[in-house]
Amino acid sequence: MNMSSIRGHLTKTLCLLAAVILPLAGLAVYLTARASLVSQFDALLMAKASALAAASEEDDDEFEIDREIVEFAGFSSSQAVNYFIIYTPDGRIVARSPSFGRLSFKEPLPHFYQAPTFTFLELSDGRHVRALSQLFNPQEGRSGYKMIIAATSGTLEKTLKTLGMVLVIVALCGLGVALGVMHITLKRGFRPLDQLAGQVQNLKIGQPDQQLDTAALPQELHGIGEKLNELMDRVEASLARERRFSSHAAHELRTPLAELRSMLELIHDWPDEKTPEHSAEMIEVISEMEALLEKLSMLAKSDARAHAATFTTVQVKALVESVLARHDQNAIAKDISLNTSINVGVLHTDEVFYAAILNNLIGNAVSHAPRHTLVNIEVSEKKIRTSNQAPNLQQDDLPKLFERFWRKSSSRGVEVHSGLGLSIVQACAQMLGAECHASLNKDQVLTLEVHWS
Amino acid sequence: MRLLLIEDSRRLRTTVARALSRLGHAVDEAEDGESGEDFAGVNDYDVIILDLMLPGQHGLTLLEKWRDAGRDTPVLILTALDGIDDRVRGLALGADDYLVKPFAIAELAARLEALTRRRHGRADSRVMIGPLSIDLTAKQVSRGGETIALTAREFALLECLARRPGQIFSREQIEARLYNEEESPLSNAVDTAIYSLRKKLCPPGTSPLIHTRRGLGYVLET
Repeated sequence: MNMSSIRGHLTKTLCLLAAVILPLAGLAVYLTARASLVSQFDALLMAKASALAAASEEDDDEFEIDREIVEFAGFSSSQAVNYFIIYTPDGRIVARSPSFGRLSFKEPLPHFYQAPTFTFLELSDGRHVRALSQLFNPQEGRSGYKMIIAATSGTLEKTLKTLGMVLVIVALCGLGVALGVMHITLKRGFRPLDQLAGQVQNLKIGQPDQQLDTAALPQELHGIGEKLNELMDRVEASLARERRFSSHAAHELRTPLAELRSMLELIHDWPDEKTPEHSAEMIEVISEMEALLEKLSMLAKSDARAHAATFTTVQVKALVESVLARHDQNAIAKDISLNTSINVGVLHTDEVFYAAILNNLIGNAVSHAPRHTLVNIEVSEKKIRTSNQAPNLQQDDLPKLFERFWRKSSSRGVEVHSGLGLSIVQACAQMLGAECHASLNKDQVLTLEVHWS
Repeated sequence: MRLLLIEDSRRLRTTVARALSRLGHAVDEAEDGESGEDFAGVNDYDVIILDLMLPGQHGLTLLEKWRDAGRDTPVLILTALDGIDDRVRGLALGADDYLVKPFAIAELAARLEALTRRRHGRADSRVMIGPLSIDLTAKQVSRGGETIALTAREFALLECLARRPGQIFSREQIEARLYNEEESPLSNAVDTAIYSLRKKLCPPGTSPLIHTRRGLGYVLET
């Protein structure tokens, strides 16, 4: 897997920058120093050139130069450091410093202009000199005389070489130090990020109470840490909800499965037990399991938003009557009167969700109402409301009514309730943009209402 | 065995009770905690099969009450609660076994048998009384190597006597082991069953194994 590292990338980039910037800086220092030194050297040559020009004259076509000044300006033979040579306008040598001895400048010679021109020349003995060449006019003479004044540049070159070496060493040492500092700085700077990454890697999905220590995080990572903690809380809450749901679902399926298995084993081991009553009971168990699975499936779809509401025109009266028909038998068996009031003709809603709300509200009312009592059902454009006697219900129970798998009694008893009906009502109501409300009056009449604002 | 089954699911309760009856046990059925408590207060059961989520009174509350009162009847918890915490809590409160729904009747019967055996301090499910060999788990009887076919009721009677060889059982004690609360046996039902069992266990020419102690009851011994 190709994984890029921020620290690696930063290290490479900074190293590259250091490797480029430090030599460039060294080079800049070297060139500046060199220019300064050469400039000083050239200024000295200029001064000497001025002195020579001032000390030279043409008398009766004879060129003369003041020997004292020549001596004073350092062109004596003993010093052999400074040199000059003067040409007539037609190129004939009329004067040269005693320091030349047998030496001369190697060709090519520089060009001559009014303005002084500086260049490096080589003597015939191989030494390098810095030379100034220019045209000049001797005192009282013709114009167009040419002059070359030079001084050995060995000291200058040695100084520049030493400076260059110092700068290279400093640059190399600086690069080494910079790399070390960068490594340590990046390591320290990235330590909180590494620690955060380590903590995140050690997080185990499904283990409760796992939080990142955000107090130790720097300001830049604090927000990330807080957000991760919030996400972890959400994941844990979601997993806990799923675990509870799965556990409840498994629990609800265990008893009917046990019933079915026991019945089948009884019939298998003692074939004479295979009676129509047992067969009917097995079908009854299977029907209950089917109903439970249908409810679980609807809730799962609602959770996953797998079934989006599809709004169509719904004939409310026909729908209510078809739902009532499903619960008629149970109502008759318990001698429960159903008082229905429908105040709306058609609705633009999702028929599946609307029918599920009606079915579960009415089914819940009929199922929990005591025998010989009345169940009121009211359907209008903005609400569906059922009310029935609930003698065992208490005010404390109301907030739990819409919880999944909540039952007043956890036992199964004669009538089987999955505890999912009202949670399906709530899920469907949410899908249709409605809200659920439960109230219990002093006469122990429970009213459940789904209303649209 | 005389069993009490406390289970609120009617279909499961009646089916399991029926199956256990067919295996030769006398089973009393209770649909809630209160009636279960009443049954347990009146009769002496070999094992009580107890559901946990009962209407009225939680199964664990009942169990706690019995154990606090010093009642040592083996209790097998039969429940849909399969969490480790639920199992630990049940066993910690004094349950002897824990079986999660759904379950096999054969496994339930085997566990009930094991609990009874443990209560009587026996590790082996086979009982030897002279030439008579009784396998209480396989429900097989043989004498001198020859298998004897018994009805469920006859085996239940033999099992009742064989669990404590040498101990005299009165007619009332035997009735309590063979019939549940809803059955009303005839006054001579036990004598008739003893007669039938004697005929099968001790053919002419063999030594008797079931002896009558006049005015006291019956005893199984060589």
